[in-house]
Parts: sequence; structure tokens; C-alpha cells
Amino acid sequence: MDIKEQIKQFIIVELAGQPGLALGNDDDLLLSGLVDSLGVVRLIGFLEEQTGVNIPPGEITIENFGTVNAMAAYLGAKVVSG
Amino acid sequence: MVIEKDIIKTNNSDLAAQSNLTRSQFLIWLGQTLAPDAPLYNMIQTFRFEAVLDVEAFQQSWATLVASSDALRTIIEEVDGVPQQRVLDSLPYRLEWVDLRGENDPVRAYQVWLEARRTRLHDNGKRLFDTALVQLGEAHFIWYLNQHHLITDGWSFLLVYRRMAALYEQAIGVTDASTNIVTAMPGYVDYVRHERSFRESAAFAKAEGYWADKLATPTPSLTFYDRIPRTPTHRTERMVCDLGAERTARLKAISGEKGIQILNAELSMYNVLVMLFTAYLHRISGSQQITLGSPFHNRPTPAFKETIGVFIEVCSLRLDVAEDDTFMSLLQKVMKESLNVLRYALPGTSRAEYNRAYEVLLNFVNVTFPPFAGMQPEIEWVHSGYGDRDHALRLQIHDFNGTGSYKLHFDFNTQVFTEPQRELAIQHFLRVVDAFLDNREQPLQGVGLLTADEHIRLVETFNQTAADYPADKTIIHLFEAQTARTPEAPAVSLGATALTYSELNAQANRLAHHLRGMGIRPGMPVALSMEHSLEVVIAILGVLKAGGAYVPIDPTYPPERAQVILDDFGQESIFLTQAHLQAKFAGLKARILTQDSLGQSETDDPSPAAKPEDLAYILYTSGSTGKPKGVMIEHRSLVNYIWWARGQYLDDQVRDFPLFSSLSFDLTVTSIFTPLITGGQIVVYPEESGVRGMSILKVIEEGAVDVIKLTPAHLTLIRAMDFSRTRIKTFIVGGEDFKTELARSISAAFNHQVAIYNEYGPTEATVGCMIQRFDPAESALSVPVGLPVANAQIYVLDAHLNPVPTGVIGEMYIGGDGLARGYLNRPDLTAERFITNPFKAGTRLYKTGDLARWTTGGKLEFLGRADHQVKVGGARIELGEIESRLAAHPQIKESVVTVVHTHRATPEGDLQYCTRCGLASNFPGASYDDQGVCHLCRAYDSYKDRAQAYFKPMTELQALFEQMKAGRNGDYDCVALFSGGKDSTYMVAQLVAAGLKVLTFTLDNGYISEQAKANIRRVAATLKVDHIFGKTPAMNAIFVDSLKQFANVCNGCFKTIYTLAVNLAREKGIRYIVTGLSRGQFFETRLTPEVFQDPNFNVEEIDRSILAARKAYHRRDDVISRELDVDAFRSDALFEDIQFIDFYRYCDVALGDLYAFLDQYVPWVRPSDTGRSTNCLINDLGIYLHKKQRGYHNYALPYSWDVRMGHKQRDEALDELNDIIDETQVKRMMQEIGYTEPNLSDDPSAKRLAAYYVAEGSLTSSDMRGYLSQHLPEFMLPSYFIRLDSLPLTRNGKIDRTALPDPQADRPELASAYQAPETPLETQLAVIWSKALNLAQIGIHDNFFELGGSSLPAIQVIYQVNQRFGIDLPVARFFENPTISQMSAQIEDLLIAQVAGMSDDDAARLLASLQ
Repeated sequence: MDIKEQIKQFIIVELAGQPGLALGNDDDLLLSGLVDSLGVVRLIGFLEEQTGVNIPPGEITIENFGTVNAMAAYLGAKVVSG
Repeated sequence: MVIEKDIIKTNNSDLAAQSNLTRSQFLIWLGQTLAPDAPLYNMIQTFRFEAVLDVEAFQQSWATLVASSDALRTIIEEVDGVPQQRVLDSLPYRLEWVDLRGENDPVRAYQVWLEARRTRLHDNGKRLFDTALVQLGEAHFIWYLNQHHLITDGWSFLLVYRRMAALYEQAIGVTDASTNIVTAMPGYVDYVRHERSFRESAAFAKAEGYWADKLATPTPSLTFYDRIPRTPTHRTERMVCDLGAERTARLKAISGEKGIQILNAELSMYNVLVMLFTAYLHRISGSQQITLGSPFHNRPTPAFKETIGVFIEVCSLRLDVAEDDTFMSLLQKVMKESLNVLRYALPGTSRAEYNRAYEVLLNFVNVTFPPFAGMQPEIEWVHSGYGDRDHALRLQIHDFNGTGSYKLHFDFNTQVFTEPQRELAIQHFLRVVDAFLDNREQPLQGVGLLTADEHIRLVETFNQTAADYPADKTIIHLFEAQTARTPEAPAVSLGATALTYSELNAQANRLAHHLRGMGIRPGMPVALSMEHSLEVVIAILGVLKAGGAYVPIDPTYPPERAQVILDDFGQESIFLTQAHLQAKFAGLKARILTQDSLGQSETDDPSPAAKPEDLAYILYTSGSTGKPKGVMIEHRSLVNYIWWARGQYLDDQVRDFPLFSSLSFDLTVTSIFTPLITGGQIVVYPEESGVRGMSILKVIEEGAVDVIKLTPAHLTLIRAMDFSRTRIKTFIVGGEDFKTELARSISAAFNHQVAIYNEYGPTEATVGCMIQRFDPAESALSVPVGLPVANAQIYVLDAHLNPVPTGVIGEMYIGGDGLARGYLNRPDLTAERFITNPFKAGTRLYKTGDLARWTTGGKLEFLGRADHQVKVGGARIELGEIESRLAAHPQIKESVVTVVHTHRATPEGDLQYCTRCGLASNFPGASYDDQGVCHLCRAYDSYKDRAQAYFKPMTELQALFEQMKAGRNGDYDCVALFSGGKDSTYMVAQLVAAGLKVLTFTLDNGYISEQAKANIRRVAATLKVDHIFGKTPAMNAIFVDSLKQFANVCNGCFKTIYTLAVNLAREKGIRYIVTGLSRGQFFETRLTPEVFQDPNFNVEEIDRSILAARKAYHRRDDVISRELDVDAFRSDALFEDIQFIDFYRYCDVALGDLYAFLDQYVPWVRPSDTGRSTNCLINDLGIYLHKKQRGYHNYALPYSWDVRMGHKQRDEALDELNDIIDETQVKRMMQEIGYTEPNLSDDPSAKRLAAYYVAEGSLTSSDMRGYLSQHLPEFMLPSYFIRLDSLPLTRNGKIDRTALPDPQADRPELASAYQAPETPLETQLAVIWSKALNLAQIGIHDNFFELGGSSLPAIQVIYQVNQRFGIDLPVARFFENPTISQMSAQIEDLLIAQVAGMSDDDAARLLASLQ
């Protein structure tokens, strides 16, 4: 499962708790209220475990975590830059 | 506090592990267990419906809700001491319907109901909620819901409400009854399980690590408005404030902006609120590290979002505020910090120890309540009035009603925030919010916190001081005008010689003409170094008349320092001195002039030369760079001050002032010019051998003046003197912090018939710029500095020149006509200290370096120096000046000078004890004969027999008893003061046996031991007498007052007992009060040796004086007279209506017989829970403080009398006096009664300078002293020289003044070898010296000054010696040869001279008394 799918699954099952929910890669997660701030924190914990990437607090922004695509891009860049 | 922490530490982890509570629940449970009587965790909401409700349906809905919600059915039980939660299968509860419709005023009735209900405690084992529906009208209901925090949180409020609404809608048939709301509700037990298993996870371990790291170093406590809480309390007051729709909308808009918005709107707003609160806390506390707690609700899954229960973790945010932070830069820090915290605010991470990391809490509850069955109730979050006592302030922000305006709930700990301060605090917070909205890029330091009202009050109204004065005149104009008015009046006198105004004027003219001839022009400085004399007054006026500025140089200063000042003038200047001082100053580079060398000159007034803007004088004060700095004062400033002083202190009367203080201190300016422009007289007191201050004793003794200007140190010297012959009407006190206690004792010594003024002002603002008349009712520790004088402005500003709000410490700045021109030849320093006045264009402000703050009463409180300038003995000293002098010594590598406070206590091992009574040598005035018998025992031997006349036979008492019975007009014959001790117990038994109807009275001061109370009750019951425990709510205030005045608690209690007993007697119509004062107490207080010195000793006279003393005692102004009903005492009739009978004046019972009687008839038990033969636990506090402050045990004298009377064995007394006081208990009691232990610095005579240095080679204290005395005046010489291997440093590499060792009470390293005292006289002197110098060991050849003595302790020593030996040892002789051996020889000479004129018997007696 690619990272975007993993993120979506986590949000749909663990955070939103609505297994049938359709979630687009560009859907606004935060401003829509679908994910709350604590949800982001949990998601970050999940991503760190999954990818081994360390996410510093300064990078936890809407730009990086506002959508599934944004997160994937952010993580991609992290992995590349090492 | 201490106890609580111990419980947490020892039990917390164990208990928590065994308990099935979540961590958060456990902490709440723990908090509640530690404060079982405080409803700290009552989470109360009320919902006001202006609509009709179906009560039945409402009740039914609640029952269904309880049945379906496990949280609401949860109870907490303690199983083997471990809290366990259990969900009850069912919890039958019918929601209470409170019908207030029948009340006259249902709204008021509801408020009363709510007030009582909100503090109702929950029974953990029974139910954790309390709810009711209150009906106020047909269509007016309030649903009251109170849940224990153990089962609810902010989010739960909403869940309970929504469920209730849904169930109600079903119950009234609005919605379909078939929808099963109930089964959709997840249980809290799931979260409990989740939290437990989560605690095993790696994520949790990581979070734990984060918190442990973060909170490993505590941040310093915040001082809110610079106020340290006295006693932590659970009592909190909630003050509610609406932020307002506009502010709320703007905050919301800003928090949505790019760069501010983060993750979601709630978090963004939260960050902004945290930032604002932090900025506010920073500004009111001055702290740069702010730690605040904040609850986060952990509902990570949608199911948990629907679960009722407590999900919060309270976590700490820690913010470092930088000096140059703006709102936006602080916000960036907050954004980062909140993300960190959020990340680790995971379930189960709360810990008791982490909770103590913060004292403030911010709670943003972002919840809006939807309609309830189509109605929109008004929701209120009701405060129980209690909170966690570690929380000084909680700010809760919410908008439950969705009004668009945030509601701010400030929960103030009532011990931290005074009532007026609470109001102001909210205003100050709003000022911060508005400043942010106004300009978010502005520095936090630039935000003005003052409210408009405060600004007007503190900046404008306070400073409206404009007053007319002759601004176009010089001081010489005013003096010449006075001379014209009263040419023949005495202007200045010294002993028998005096000059009239016209004589003084003529002589001053003669000098002025001469000086003009020498080239003196307006504003030119003329040095003047003269002792107090008529000449010096002539000289000052002569210089001024010539147009020059006089520059006083104390004649005791080393010539080196005089030269430094002369060099500052920049030209070869005139040095006016006296013939006998010429030799000392012969080496100076100056034109030395004495008045007797003037020759003939004119005596007419010279033509006026100086203008108001010319200099009148230059005073040199200590300068931090090592050089004294010359403060230049113009005529206009001097005239402004003196004109004001004349109006303030003289009230158009002609008054005489003494000239006794040094001319180089500006306080002396008042004593010279005030009389000279008003027709008064200056009475000159020469300083003896150059000792500053000593002549004040002469001033008082002679009683020849009306007004005295002096320092608190001077007052300390004279406080014990006899003022009966004085004509003093006014004391003007300046130069140093003036303690209320000192003012009170002086005022009392004058029977309050004296005006005492506290005048504040630096030299740079011409003598005085603030004034306050002392009020004996003053409760502050120091006499306030009061109001600005005429044409002066006072500001308290922060480092950015913002006026500080009420309660916050700032620096004092002075503006107005008194401001000096600046410092001579120091434009840099002048520019630094005299700045542009931002409040009054075109004027300047002087930066004082003094700290102060506004009290909520609108007064200015003076708080000491901001820098290293200190005041010792009234003199202003820059420690840096001494340090740079030390640094100039070739052997000294490093040095630092500080002020230390000497302790009075003598080490107990060095004490001598009377071989008969055990009186210790630290008792004031104690002396012992060669058999080691104390002076009191010896004196008692001599009058013991005569004293018997005071005592009366029992038959007289029996006659009195009959008189009492015959005159009874109520239920009782007498009130018996019944302390519960053996003496009063015996007394009461005897009164009962005599057939009297006795009402026994005991003061319950709140600290009577339980055993003693049981005794008292038992005795009263056995003797079948009525008994009253008297109490007063003012007890703590009385303790505090007594501690301040007498350093014990007993004096306060005694007076309270008498006062309450008299009022009781009046109320019951009883005419007699019988006391159980022991015979020892009679001797201690009434039958003192002085009484028997009068050969015509007469008992009636004693009784008369006791009655007079009793009247005065009860009429004295103190806390008791202010707090208790003392009206009755004002009338003399009272003392006839109610008579005091001292039982033991009649009854003489041997101790053995007394005990035997008690054993046989009365079940009296000696208390074992107080540690000594008294009943009172707080006694320990008095003993502790008395020993510490007065240096001896307050029971030393009473016990010595007990021993003398045979009521105690010597060993027993010594044993009881050798008590070990539990300091923890003492401190706890201090907190309880609200007593703050004063700093030892309260005693101005206890302050000393200490020099610490690192040096090479050999360097003794004598060497150091000798070296410094060549350059510095005596008052700047350190008392202690302490050599260190290195100076302690702070982490920043600065010298850590707090880590310097205390000067040891050992003999310092001196040039002279130690030789112990040998003769009795030498030994006695050594005791006196060691007390004054606070040194344990003194050799007879040691120089007093090299031991660290300065003139204040020297004067104390001479005063004591003269008192003790009845001689008049001249001060000058002591100063010439200040060693014990020399002093002892001088005393012997004087005594021999006295003895020569005596009969052999008298001489023998005198000599015996000295042995």
C-alpha cells in the first residue's frame, strides 16, 4: 500500500471512524474539521512509525499536512533529503 | 503544603498503579482527598430556559441518561486505601424539582439557593453528580447540573447536554421514540482500558521522556504584581468579563491569517490566546520564563468524541519571553511550543509532579451549545468558589452560548490577588489584548498597561503639586528679609554664645566681601570643611552672599578625599576651614582660609550677585566609579524646598532646629535654612571627636529645640531615652527606609503628642520630594513615602519608561523644580540619570535607582535600591566606590563589598547563668557578682523584706469576698481569669470553696493545647462553675501586632484577655475580676527594683501607679483598640465600676501545698503537648522570634522570678528555657496568622559593610582598614574584611553576591595579638562589646574600629557603659583609645574620682556593685 493509501486508511478508520468514507487526495483535512489537532498528532506518530522519518514540530503546518497529497509530498522530500 | 507533597511522593506511584482510575482521574481524586472539605472539582453549569418545560419529562430524561451513561453511574471507592472506580448497574435518582414560584423574589431566592448548593460536596462512594430543575416562573426554568470533575470535562458538558436534549425531545414526543439514542453511547470504561494499554506503548514512553526532560528544571515562581502569596488557599474568586464581539471577531480574523493559522481554527485561536496571556503574565510579573498549564482533551477516535467522562490531560507550556519580543515573535514561540505539547499530551501523561510546574492555567473550551428542543437556554459556568491551591490564576475562555463574544473567567486565588487587584488585573489583560489588536508588531515592553483611570490617578492627579514660591529669589534674599524682620532675635547659638540675626548677617557679610575680594563670582564653588560651630553657619551664608556655591567637606574625611573634590573644581579653589584643622589640611592644593584671619571687612549686605538659576551648593555623594560625584543644586531648587518645608513643618510658627548632623548630607540643609528664613534659631551641637550621630543624644537630653531632622538610625539610638523634659514637637525622618515599628515606638514614647514625618528624597532632587506624616494606625511594614512635595512629580516607570500599573514594581523617577542641575564635570552621568520627561515637555526626570510600587490603596510603597547603591547608617554609599578603592591596592586581586546584617544572638555555649535563679547573661543588663549571682537576685535580697508590705493577709481577701456576695446584682460574684495553669486552677478552687458564684473565663486564642482545654473543661465541671471560652476574630491580627511590638505573643493575649473579660463583666453586671497572677509576676512587672529605691516606699503609691498604668494600657492605640470593643475603657468610671483583684496578693501558698491540693481535689494535669508549663502552642512562635530578634528568651525574666519565689527549681527553669523550637511548626503558624518575618535589615543599626577580597601575600584587617581610611570617609569603611581564595561566580560569570559567606563571629585577623580580658571590669566590657560588634571573642588590646565597629555601635557601647556604671565617659576619649584595656582604665579613673567624694560606706557599696 502506498503512503497515500496508508494515510487515507488511517484517517478514515482511526480518526474519522467512518470506514465507508470517500476521501480525495486533495480534500482539505484540517479546515474541514475532519481531523482535529490531536488527530494530526496521532497521524504524525503513525507516519513516523511507518516511514522512520522524524517530523520536527516546526514542520507541522497546514502546508505540509493540509491534504493527503501535501503529506505525501512532504514525506517524499524528507526521505530524499535524508 | 509540605505534607501534601510528601503524600504525593510516597504514595502516588504505588496507588496509581493499583488503582483502576485513569491518570487524570487519579490526580483529581488525590487533589480532592487532600482537601476533603473544599469543593474544588465541582463542575457546575446552569441552563436558563425562558420557556415552559415539562418537569416530568425532564426528570424522566435524566433518569434515562443516567441509566445509559456509565460515567454518570460511576462511583469511586477506596479499597484498602486504593481508589477504584466502579460503574453501578443502576443508580436510581430522581432529578430534584425546586419550585420557587411562591417566593416573593424568585430570582433572589434562586441566587440564595445556588450560593448554598454550589459548594455541596459529592460523596464519591455514592454519586458524582448533583442536578435539579429550578422553576422560577411558569416559563422560567433553570437546570442546575453539578458533576464532579472525576466524571466530566469541558467537552463532556456538551455531550451530556446534547443527550439530555435528545432524550427530552423524545420524552415530549417531538422526535420519534423508536430512535435508540441510548445504545449509541460508547462507555468510558473503554477509554479507561485504552489509557491503560496505551501506557504500555512506545509512543507513551517517548512522551514520558519528553515531559520528564522538559520539567526536570523548574521555572522560578511567578510573582504576580510582585506579590508573594502569604498562605496558599483553595479559595478562589471568579470574575467574569466579556471580551466583546468586536475584539472576538478581530482575534478570530487574525488567527485565520496566513502565518498565524496553523492546522485548524481552534488551535490557531488557542495559540493567540496563550500568547496574550503569556504577554500579560510577563508584564505583571517581570518573569521571562512563563510556564502555564493547559488542559487538552484526548478524544482521538470518533467514538471517544461521543463518550461522556474525563479525557483531559493537563500539560505545561513553557515560554521564554525575550526582552525585545513583539507580540508576533512571541506568537511564533507559542505556535512551536503548542505543537510540541500537543504532540506529547497523550493519554496518561499527567503527573502530580508535573502539575506543580505551573501556577497559572489557561483553558480554552471551544464548544458551542446547540438549541435544546428548539429552545436556546442561556448557559452559565458556575464557579464553586474553590480551586487548586497551587493555582494562582486560571483563565477560562469560552463562548458556550455562541454569542460571538468570548467570555473570560478569571479564577483568582484570593491569597495571591487582593480584591482591588483582581479588578485591575482584568483591565490590564484587556490592555494587552487591545495593544495586540492595535499593532501586533509592537514590542511587548512598549504596551502601556495602565487603565485610563489609573493613568489619571497615578500620573496626573498624584502629581498635581503646583504651588507658589518665591522663584525669583535666592535663599539669601529670604534670609536678609528675615534679618530685617527680626534683627534682634537669636539666629544661631552654641552653648552660652549666640548670634542674633543682625549679628549673623553682619559676620556673613564680612566673609562675603572678603570672598568677593578673592574673586568669587556667581556659581563658583567654595569648599568648606568645618566642625559644627557658629562659624560654619556664618561661612555658609558668607559663601552664598558672595554669590558662590558652598561645598561642604566633612572635616573627618581624609585629606585625600578632600583633594579629590577640590580637583573636581578644576581651578585652585578656596578651602574654608578652622584654625585647629589647618594642620590636617595643610597639604591640600587650595587657598586655605580661616575666618579669624580675615582682617577688617565691610559688614553691609553685599550687592546681590547670585540669581535663582545660580548654584547654591554642591554636595558630593558616593560614586560607583570610585570617585565621589558632585550634585549641583541651584538657588531656585533650594528655595522651592525650603519654602515648602516652612509651610509643611512650621505652620507659621517660629521653631528652633538643632544642627548636629553632618553638613555633607543633604538632610542637614533643612536644619540650617528652614529656621533662618522664618525667624527660628539654629542650636549647634558640636560633634564629639568627629563621631557622626552621637550628638543626637545631647540634643534630646537638653530638650532645647522644637523640630529635629534625622535618620531612622538616629531614632534607633534615642528610642529608649526619656522624652519627658523635651519640647520636641516634630521629627522629620529621612535618608533611609523608615520602619513603622520604630515610628510607632517613638510616637508612643511621646504619648502620640509628636508629629513624625517621613521625608523621602535623593540629593539630586534637593533634600525631600515626598512626604508622609506617620499615622500610628499604619499597618505597612515601612512608613509610606506619601505624596510629592510642592512642584515635584513622581513617576514609577518600567525599564521602557511606561508607568507601571498598580502592584507592579518599577523604578521611581522624579521631576519638578527640585531637580539638580546635574553632576559637576560628569556630563555622561548627568545624561544617564537626568533624562527627558516624557510626561511634561521641556522638563527633565531624575532616575533614582529606587524601586517602588503603587498599592491598591493608591499609595506609593518604597522597596529599596535597584542597583548596588546602599544606605548604611543613613549614608548613601556606592559599593563600587569602595570596591574600586580596594582594587587599587597592589596586593588585592579581586574584591566585592556587600551589606550584611548582623545577628544579635549570642551563641548559647558562651552564656553565663546566675547560680541562684539561672538568669542567662544574654538578658539585657545582666551582671553577676563573684559568686555568680545575678544583679536581680542581689537587688531582690535588698528589698525582699520591704516588699512584703505589698502583700496582704487572706483575711482581707475574705472580707472582699463578703463584699462581693453582698453586692451581687446578677448571677455571678466575679469573673475569674482561668488560664488552666496550676495557679489559676488553684485560685478558682479556692474561690468556689469560699462560696462565691464564679464565672470562669479563658481566652481561646486558637492555639490552646487539647490537653489544656480538656483540663479546663474538667476543672470547670468538677467545680461546677460556669465557663466561657472567649474568642475574637481579630486574634491573628493581635498576634501579629504583638509580635511586631514585643517579639512575643503573650503581650497580645494578656491584653485581649483583660479586654474581653472586662466586656464580659460589663455585659453580665459583674463588678470583680479575679486574676491568678503569680507573686513572681508581681515582681516582674510591678515591684521592680526602682520602686524600692525610693526610701519612702509606699503601697498606696504603687496601687495608684498600677491603676494609672492600667488606664493608659487600655487606652493605648494598637490592634486591640482598633479591633475589639474598647469604648468602655475611655471612661475613668469603668475602673471604679469593675475592680481587679489579684488573688495571690493575698494568698501565699507553698508550691508543694498547691500541688498537693490540686492532686487531691481537682483533676488538674500538667500539659504534655506544649513542651513547657504553659497551655499555648503558639508560644513557641513568640519564643523563636524573641530569641532571634532580641537575642534572649522571653521567659528568662519570668522564670527567674519563679525560681526566686520558689515556684520552680533552677534546673527545671534552665531545662524549660533550653527548648528546641520546631521551626517548621513556627513557620506554619506564621503563615496561619499572616505574619511575615521581617528581614533583619529592619534594624538600621544592624547593617554593616563587608569586604570580600582575594589577595597576595600577607594582608590583615588592620592593614586593609588603614589603607582604606586614607581615602574614604569613616562611614564607608567596611566592618568586616573577609579573605577568600576566590570569589563565587554566577553562571553568567558575575560575582554571586548571594553565595558570599556570612562574616564569622570570630575575631578578625588583626595586627594586635589576642589577649583575654582578666579583670571583672574588662570581662563586663568584653560582653558589651561583643554584643555591639556581634563578635564572640574580643581581646583587650583590640581596636574597636578594626574589629568592625562604626560610630553607631560605638555610641551604643558608650551609652551602655555610662548607664551601667553611672558615669559620663566622654565619647572623644573612647575614640582616641578604642580598646577594652584603655576603656577600662578610663572608667576606673572616673570611678575613683567619684569615690573620692563619698563616704566610706557609699564607696564600698559602689565598688561592690561593680564587681
